[in-house]
Amino acid sequence: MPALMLPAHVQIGIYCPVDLNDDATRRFYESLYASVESSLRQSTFLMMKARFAEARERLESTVALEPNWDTYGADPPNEKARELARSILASLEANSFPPTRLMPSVEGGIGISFVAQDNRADIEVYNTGEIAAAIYSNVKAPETWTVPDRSLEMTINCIRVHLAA
Amino acid sequence: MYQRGRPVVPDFRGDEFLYLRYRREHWVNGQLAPSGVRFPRTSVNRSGFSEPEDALFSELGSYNGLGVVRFMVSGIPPRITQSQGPPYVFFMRHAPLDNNYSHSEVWSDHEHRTGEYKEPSKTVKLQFRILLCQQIRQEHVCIEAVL
Repeated sequence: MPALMLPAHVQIGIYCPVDLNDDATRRFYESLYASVESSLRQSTFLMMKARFAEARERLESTVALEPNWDTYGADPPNEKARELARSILASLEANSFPPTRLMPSVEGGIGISFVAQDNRADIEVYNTGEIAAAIYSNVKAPETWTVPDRSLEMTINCIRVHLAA
Repeated sequence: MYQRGRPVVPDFRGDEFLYLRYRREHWVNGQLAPSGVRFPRTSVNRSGFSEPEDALFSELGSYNGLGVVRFMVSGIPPRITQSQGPPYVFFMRHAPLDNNYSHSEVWSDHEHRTGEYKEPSKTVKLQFRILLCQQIRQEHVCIEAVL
């Protein structure tokens, strides 16, 4: 973390006069901001939290989608799919395993993608309440299954192992 | 673009390109995500009768901001087997629209060909979409999506 240099006139305590037009004060706050930003980037925990926050934001934003949102006639994700996706995100977070991207699926539902180097995996939650998953790479043909065939916990574990390979 | 009485051309060359609209959120780490590809009856424009930008043609501007990717007819997985149930085959059909002569669709059927569209299982469909998306990488982006 870069050392922070307090301007000479800044008082230590709860209250201190701040002149935002003062160059030294501005430099101090710029360096403080850069320092916090750098800490955030270096924190795996905070980065993971940020990725889950982004996934949840994307998930809730799908409420606004209308029929034909993809211009090819797709149904928007329904509440059943969103609820299942929320529970999958909760399981992923409990496993400290954030997805690369959450997005609406043109199949009618929610898609959750994982990428690590050349290895990829997807979980799709459909408006019907069905869930399908797949692991694949450039050298491995897709292996697909439904979540009743493998539990959600086993699915997450399969994906984690595949991405780490 | 307009059909204007032109006939259906059922034959597709393997090296003919097919153009597909996509949204930016479906572009994940240099590849189109399966969640961005609809199946069955995936709508595409064939390059024999259109240009990539034609896929974004709309008198109402409905496709403004979307992108266009391309893949070859030969890139469509011809056949997918499953442990339980019959194998499926996939093929192209030219399905012109009044305002889009190049419009075509990817269809599927049982391997023994019933002559009708047969809906594959969710896992076969996901497998198909993954295999198709593996053909659609950065070099296959014709028009980059901004939406």
